[in-house]
Amino acid sequence: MKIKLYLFMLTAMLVSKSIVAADIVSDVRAGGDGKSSSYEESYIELGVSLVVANNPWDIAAGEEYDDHDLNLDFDVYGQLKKNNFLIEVTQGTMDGLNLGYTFLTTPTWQVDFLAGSLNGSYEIGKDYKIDDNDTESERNRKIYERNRIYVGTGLRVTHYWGKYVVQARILNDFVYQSGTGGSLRIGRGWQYRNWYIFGIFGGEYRSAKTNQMWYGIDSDEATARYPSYNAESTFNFSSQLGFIRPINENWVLRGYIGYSNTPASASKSSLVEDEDTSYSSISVNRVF
Amino acid sequence: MVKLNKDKFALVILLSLIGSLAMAENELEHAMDNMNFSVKPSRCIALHKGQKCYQTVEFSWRLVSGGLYCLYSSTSTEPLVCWQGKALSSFHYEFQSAESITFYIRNETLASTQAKTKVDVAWVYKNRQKASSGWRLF
Repeated sequence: MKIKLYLFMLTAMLVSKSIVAADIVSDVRAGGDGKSSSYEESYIELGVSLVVANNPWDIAAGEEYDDHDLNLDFDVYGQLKKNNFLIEVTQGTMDGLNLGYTFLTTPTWQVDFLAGSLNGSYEIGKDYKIDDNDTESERNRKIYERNRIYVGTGLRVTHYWGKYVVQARILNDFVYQSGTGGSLRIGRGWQYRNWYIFGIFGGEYRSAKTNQMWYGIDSDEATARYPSYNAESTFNFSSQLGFIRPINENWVLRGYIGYSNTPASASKSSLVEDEDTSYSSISVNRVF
Repeated sequence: MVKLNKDKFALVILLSLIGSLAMAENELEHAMDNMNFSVKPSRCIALHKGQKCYQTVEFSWRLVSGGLYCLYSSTSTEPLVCWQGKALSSFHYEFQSAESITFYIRNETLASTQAKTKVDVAWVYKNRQKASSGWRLF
């Protein structure tokens, strides 16, 4: 077992590679009580988790995350809501970091403007620019480790339909011009004694521009290992099943398993192996 | 012969009542102290306010005199269990509630409450507050 600590965005990139979804996880966590999450105010959770992940990235080139390995990870969840402004951090599940504003709340609807929905990783100051003097292995490393970040701006609409939560997001990256993405997800929570179980199923669209940022390889940076690749738009499905159980007033036990298929267009990239993403995690978190 | 006017008479009656109530309360507290009526665990943790909390709890007590006793919860007029004298000194109960509940032992022979205890419901995510509805602008 290797002990590694990751920033939430890095983990989000490696585990889920998702630009969509949001706090639907925290919504369905409420046990499917059919109420808006805006009833909740602010909290932050810190914890440690045991993660087993199988992701389609070309692991041979990357050293950050070993396929099928059991990893000790660092967990961060949280949301801060003040005067309808929101900051949400959802780690290891389906979302990265959301900065936004809730401008409509009814008992069954919530509409948020997401000023910034961040997913991916960004390392300031690290040299990823390929130049002519780079060796082949240096080129490969730079292609694999280059900054990949999606800063989506758009709308998120959540409907609380009985015990179900339906959430749609439409985002566009105006900062890095990384295209458009969207998702439609449905989730439901169940309570069995003090176990809160949730399931989420959804579909996700990514434009060709967005996929180019994730999986594309420009012709001027291509190597023998990573030949030039122009990505197309994709649609994929994902699902997640999880639980949360209070240990006491300050600690919770969380667990989830998830699966998402890698669209054919993405799997043609040499950065991606032809397999789907699956992950499972169990964590103990302190709630502040 | 001492004559009391209406005001003084009312005052005497009031003071007598207060004295009686204080004595009754002291007796009840004394009885409660003697019974050692308790519940373990006395706290049930749910995830959010409003969600039902589940916990197997055990009530225990010590009785010093005979009679018919019943254990009640404050949410029902039906007793959870009744027993005669010292026949029972503990009781397991499946607590299920979204709110804290008081439990009490009543001496049915004397028609008086003998002891009280409480199971509190607490939540992990505590700041759940009702938000106002409608459109909002900056």
